[in-house]
Amino acid sequence: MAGFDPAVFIENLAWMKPELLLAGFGLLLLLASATVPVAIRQVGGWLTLAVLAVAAFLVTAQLSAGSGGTVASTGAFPDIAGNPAFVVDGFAVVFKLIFLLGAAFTVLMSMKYPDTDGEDSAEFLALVVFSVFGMMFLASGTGLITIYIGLETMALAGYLLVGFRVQEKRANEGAVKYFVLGALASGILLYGISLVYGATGSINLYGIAASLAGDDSGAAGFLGLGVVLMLVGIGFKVAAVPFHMWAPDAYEGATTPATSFLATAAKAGAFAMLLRVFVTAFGDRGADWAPLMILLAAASMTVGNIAALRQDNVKRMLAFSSVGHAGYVLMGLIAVGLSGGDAAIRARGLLSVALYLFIYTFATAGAFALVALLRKNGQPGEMLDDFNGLVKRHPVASVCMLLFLLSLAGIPCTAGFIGKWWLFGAAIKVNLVWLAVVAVLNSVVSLYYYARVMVAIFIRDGDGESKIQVPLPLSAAIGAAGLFTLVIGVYPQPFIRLARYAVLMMGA
Amino acid sequence: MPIPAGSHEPDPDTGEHEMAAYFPVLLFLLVGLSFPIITLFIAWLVRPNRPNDVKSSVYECGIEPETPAWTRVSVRFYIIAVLFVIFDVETIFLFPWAVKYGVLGLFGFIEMSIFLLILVVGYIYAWRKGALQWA
Repeated sequence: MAGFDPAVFIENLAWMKPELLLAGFGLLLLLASATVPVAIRQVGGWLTLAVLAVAAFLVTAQLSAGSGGTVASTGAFPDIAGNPAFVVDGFAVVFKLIFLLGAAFTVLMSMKYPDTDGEDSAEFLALVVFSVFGMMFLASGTGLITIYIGLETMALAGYLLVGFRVQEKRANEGAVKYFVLGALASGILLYGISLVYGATGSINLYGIAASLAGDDSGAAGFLGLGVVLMLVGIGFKVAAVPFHMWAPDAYEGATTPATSFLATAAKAGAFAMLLRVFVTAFGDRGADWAPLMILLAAASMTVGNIAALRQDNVKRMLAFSSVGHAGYVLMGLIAVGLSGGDAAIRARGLLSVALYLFIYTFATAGAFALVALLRKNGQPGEMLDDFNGLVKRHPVASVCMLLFLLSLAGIPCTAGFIGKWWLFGAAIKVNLVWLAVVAVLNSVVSLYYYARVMVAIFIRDGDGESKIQVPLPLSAAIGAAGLFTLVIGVYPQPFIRLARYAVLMMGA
Repeated sequence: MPIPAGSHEPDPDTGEHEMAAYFPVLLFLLVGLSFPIITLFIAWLVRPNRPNDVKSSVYECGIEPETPAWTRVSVRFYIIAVLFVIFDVETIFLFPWAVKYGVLGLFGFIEMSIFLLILVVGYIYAWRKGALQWA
């Protein structure tokens, strides 16, 4: 055992405090659900929120306040060549905050919600906590094995979350589709990883970058095939076209808090992985993989928005809309890829992705929170018609939904406009004006189906049902999301400063 | 391309190829493929083929088939199988630790205990939720 130092290992472990907290708490939740189900059902949600808050605090504390606000950039768990497998840098911190935000909204929505408030409520929370735990390795991991384990942890918990309503056929269908396609995508991703390993001799992102640095031979042969396969595998998780077909069924079948989790946190997790891998390992070869990504982005935007036009089920509509948003976010990554050593463009690309994912999390979680509010004959509703006349039954929530939809469409004065401005600007800076134009046109198209919801809420008449009783956690979620959506739209500077930390990616 | 530590550099004088170390694998693959194919083929050549109605019908302990051959298999078989796989993999991880216990010392013991503890939590969960009930 020469060369292994327990003291160094423990020191490295200290960098994983948020992850360890989440893992320990998830296990406790599982134990509690098996041994004291009644008690944990009462306090589980609030307890989980508290733990998520502590985890967010621990994550932010890793942004150590050195002089000038430096980041505690460090690598942990080095391999033989000295390349770390787990790093804590600005990028990791920002993305972990996004995950925790998405998870917090999910937990708020799941409290006092019919499907998730039953006997197995603690299991739902445990699954969310485990999924976030896995996601954190996607943000911090720099060894492909570490990243893969994080991806699988996140995905397996995700599959279970989608299939949580075991009695509901659509949930079973969505979960099976998600699981089978997810397993296939993982297999393709692994094959790509193995090809990249064969071509570069390293399984660590920094090792791959070092191996590719001196070599100008272009992405031919095994390396090119490996990169493409990895893109396919991750593209599935992100629900980019043409790997998006699982998303509508999985989003529709899952219970609404779980759908929100998939749409916000899980998507951000997959994007964290995409960014980390492609910027750190293949950053030099940006000109090689960017064209492929341009195709994915353009296709996602177009197909996602056009397919959403005809949906009557709001969750399916939001699923296709999230496919479109994935297309927008890919533009930021394309900007980084085509930046060709220009640090300003690279910074803008990374910043815009992180900023947009924050904004998108608020708006999407808010929209799903409103879907969670709908009731039809006492059952959770999810069709467009269930929104009819909502303004009379709950005016505040209706105004918030207006904000969320406008933000998703990118209307000025809401946060979505700021996010899109940064993203589209990043695309223009790398001379992809046509792509930005496609994005703008798609935003216009998306306004139509968001407007359908607005028309249903404000103009159509409902069934005349009485005022909805909204549980406190749900109204807190809607209120917080609405507030942030408005505030960021009007005064985005603090969030832009926060997103700027995402630029600090170690070693790249 | 970097050569992994401890591997064998091919000797150009003897015309040795880099893939030479994998020759046994190729042999294994060919034998593994050909053995069943050859034996089944020879059996097919040698045996008589005289089907009739009674011989081709579904076997049900010698009586006339009463129930359909496709029955519903209970899901508890799957649950037991999955639990077996999980705890079997746990056992596999225990073996190297047991072999090198002396070298790994206290640090290894604590680390392994944490690993076992995590799986015990899962075990308690499965137990209390009735996954081990055969009734």
